Amino acid sequence: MVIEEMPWGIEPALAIFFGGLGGGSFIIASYTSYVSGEKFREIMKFASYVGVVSSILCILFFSVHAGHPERAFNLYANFPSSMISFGSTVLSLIIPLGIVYTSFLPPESLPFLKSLMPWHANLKARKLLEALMFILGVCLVAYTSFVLALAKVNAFWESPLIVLLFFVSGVSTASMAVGLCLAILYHAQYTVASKKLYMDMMHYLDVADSYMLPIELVVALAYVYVMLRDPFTAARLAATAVAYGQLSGLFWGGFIGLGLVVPIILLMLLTWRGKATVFAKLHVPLTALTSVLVLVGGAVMRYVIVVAGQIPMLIVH
Amino acid sequence: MDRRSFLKLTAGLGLTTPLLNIFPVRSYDVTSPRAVQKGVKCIFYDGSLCIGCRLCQRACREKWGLKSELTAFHPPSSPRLSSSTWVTIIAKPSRSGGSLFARRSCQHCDEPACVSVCPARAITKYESGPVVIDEKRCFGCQYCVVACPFRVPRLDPELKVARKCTMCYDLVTKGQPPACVRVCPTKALKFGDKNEIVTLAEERVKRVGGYLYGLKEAAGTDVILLLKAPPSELGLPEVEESSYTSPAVLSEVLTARGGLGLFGLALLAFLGFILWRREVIGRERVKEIPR
Repeated sequence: MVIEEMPWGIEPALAIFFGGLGGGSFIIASYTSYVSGEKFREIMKFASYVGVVSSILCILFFSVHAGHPERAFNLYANFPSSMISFGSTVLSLIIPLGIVYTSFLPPESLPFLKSLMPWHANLKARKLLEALMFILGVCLVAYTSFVLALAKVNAFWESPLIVLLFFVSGVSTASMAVGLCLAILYHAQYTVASKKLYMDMMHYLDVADSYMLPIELVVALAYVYVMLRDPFTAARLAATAVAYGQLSGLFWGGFIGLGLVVPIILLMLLTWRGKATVFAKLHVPLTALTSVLVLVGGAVMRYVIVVAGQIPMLIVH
Repeated sequence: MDRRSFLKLTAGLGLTTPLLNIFPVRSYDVTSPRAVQKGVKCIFYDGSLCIGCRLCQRACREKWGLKSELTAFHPPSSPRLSSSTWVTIIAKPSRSGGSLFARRSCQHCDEPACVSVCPARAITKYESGPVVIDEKRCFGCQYCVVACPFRVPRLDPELKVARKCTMCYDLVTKGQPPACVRVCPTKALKFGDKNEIVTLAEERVKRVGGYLYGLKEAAGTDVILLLKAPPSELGLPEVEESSYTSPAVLSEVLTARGGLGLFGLALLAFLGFILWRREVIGRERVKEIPR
């Protein structure tokens, strides 16, 4: 079986991954604003930056995959019947609006930006935009799963569990991407107060992911288990390749092991009895390591699912 | 959030989920099958008459100027469908000696999945039956390749567009038969109005036995095959009788099978919210305790 023959390979998988990450980031930004107000403004800021960059990467990887990217203006023609037209429309809205949203959260280290963007202090406008970004974020994450689920012929993809899995994974990877930004910039904080704030925010995200990753693990295992028992041969063939076949190393080692089980253990250690543990000194590097593992695991999961769904296609004449 | 608000919101989400089905999708009229509409043309391939001469493959290649792969007769081998092989005759050894034949090409579905998923509207279903890709509009995303239940469209590695059988739409729209039908020496390929072809196919299967493929698959197609062995034994894909168009599948995912998933999703989101909120409140309370 030659995986290179498959129509959708690594580029669509990465486009789907970055779409999920982008949508998840805007969900995290809006959610944090709703839950914690202005206290964790830095989380909203980094989430919006990650959201914009990831959404752009989603378009870039999809364009690299396409044979004629110069015809991209045709992509909106079949809205909303084609999920790609739907996704293109959402991305076309989320990127400019995401950039506007980031302008409400200028970096503290560049004070001149604040004078260039006097509207950044308008909290009411930002809250309204946040509500819109939340809806668009949910649409973008939903698009990444429905673009596969609606290709019914690949029975492995046509499952509500894939929608659930991609949603949880989109939000958990986004949370970890923001955690990674905080971990990297922690050492650039020179005051005790800002270091403490960064530590609080990392802990906040760690707690959120310590709930989401076990849910993702259960959904991923349930998805493969259900597909192994699906009445359609195509779904069983794909699930067998994931569970025992040529994709099993990537699935069990890359996604389940390194992308979920190890981060869950690390997060349990980091969040166990709060921050005041023996791991306090290692909190920042361990948060960074956990974030990288979750992000790589999320990308591996998308690749495995995209490739596995197409395996039955190679068998017909 | 108190318990009452939580229950209200959950019930609200549960009730609004079915409303997602009013999402304005392009609908395909499944209540009046295209078979009864006048002017719809259809190809009938009779596997009991086919001798595997592959003149149809040659006619297709010549008509469209394709660089098709070569075919061998001894031992019989037929090329896989590709961007330059739009029709192929599969030969499989029969248990009683000799060969069993099957035709592989675009089935020109009544409700084509490729048309519904193509973001660029580069694929058109003609009223007379053919499903045709406009290569000048194609973006090369291969969504049609991924979504076709019959696994037909393929990306041309040089042109970077999806290509497949066009049912010689230039001839069909004038009421003339496609190139492959014209050259068939044994009349294994027939062309005509769909309602007449369906009647003929049903009569033939009663007389010679076998399996009809394409009549009900994917909610009906405009290419009907009479096969002497089950389709899967001849290397043809197994296809359900229901529609594969994205609006039809969306409604399947959102209602019967997906309703549960969406409800689970909403429930998990609220669970996450409550746990997260509890953590925040808990930590704030700890801070308030005087030491």
